[in-house]
Amino acid sequence: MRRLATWLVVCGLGTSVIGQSDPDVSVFSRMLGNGTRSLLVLVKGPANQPVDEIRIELPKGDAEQAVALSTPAGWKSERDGGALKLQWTVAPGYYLYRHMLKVSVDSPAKLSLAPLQLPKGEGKQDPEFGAVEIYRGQLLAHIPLAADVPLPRTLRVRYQGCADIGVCYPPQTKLVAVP
Amino acid sequence: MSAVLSRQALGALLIAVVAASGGYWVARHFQPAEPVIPEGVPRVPAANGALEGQPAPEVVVNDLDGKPRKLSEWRGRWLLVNFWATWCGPCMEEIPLLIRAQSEQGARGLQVLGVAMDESDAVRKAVREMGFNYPTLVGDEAVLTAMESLGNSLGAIPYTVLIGPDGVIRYLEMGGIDATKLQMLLNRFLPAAG
Repeated sequence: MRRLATWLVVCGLGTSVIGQSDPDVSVFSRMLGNGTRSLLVLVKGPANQPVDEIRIELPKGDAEQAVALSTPAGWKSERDGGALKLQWTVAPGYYLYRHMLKVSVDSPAKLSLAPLQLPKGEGKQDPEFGAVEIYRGQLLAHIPLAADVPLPRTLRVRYQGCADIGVCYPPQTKLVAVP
Repeated sequence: MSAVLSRQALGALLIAVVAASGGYWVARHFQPAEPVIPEGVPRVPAANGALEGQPAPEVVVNDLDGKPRKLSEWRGRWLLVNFWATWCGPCMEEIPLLIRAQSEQGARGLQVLGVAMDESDAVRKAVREMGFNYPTLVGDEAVLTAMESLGNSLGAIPYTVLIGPDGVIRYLEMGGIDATKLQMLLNRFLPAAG
């Protein structure tokens, strides 16, 4: 049951976004700022942000149970060691660009992860960028984890999106603590 | 005689009704398509229109050479400040319009100023490839601060502000501006070409 607690609501509860001393993070993170500020933004009224929340799920060894407990029906881990899973909840009327989604290890610096695995997005013919893929609603991505590879302490998550009405929001970079 | 007049009046009325209906249909048919937003989806709030008619606050953002530039440097011109970024599709779409406006309306006192919320290298590339004919400033926090002080607390772009030669904010626009809207805006404020 402890695995149930591995859901970590980053933007919604604001307890897991690490400070903003990192220069790359401070660049565009001011709109969401720390989690508390983003919560205020969401409460204030009109959806000012394309992303309501990011969730990160960690199997931590008991991959099968973690997968069974907290992933949508039909979701399967691709490796015995499980996978690091990230979920974005995109507000109605907004979308995220696939090519702007990036996740990397922030700490420890020498640790590297497998590439982010993303589902096929919705095709969009962008007047400026041509054929691109976008995501609306729930986006669930994962990073396969080998059994013998230690978990990162902190992830750097970057994303960027726009609203259908014709405005875009700056790329957001968040440092997310891995519990 | 009155019967003839009455028939003529009826005919004129009929023509007027047909013409009005046709005009209405044409207007409906050719008006710019608005994005379809499902019920319940939040709208992007408008810019802070209360700033219109107020003196523009001083804003300092670096240019592409890293030199700090103030908005007040362009006092005396009709300054169209356009906040944009290379990652913003709607922003990139309106750049050619702004380049053309600078070229064609500069004699009327227009000065377009691009302010990019982006990385310098990406902006330099876009400026070079798209043939910008107006100055461009670039930054991150400084640009967000500038936008906030000019009425955009959302941080969303494109965002455009028209400041008069006297330094007073005349118009704020959240979202893209198409050719028709830009022309109407400039015709509303700028003096006629000499």
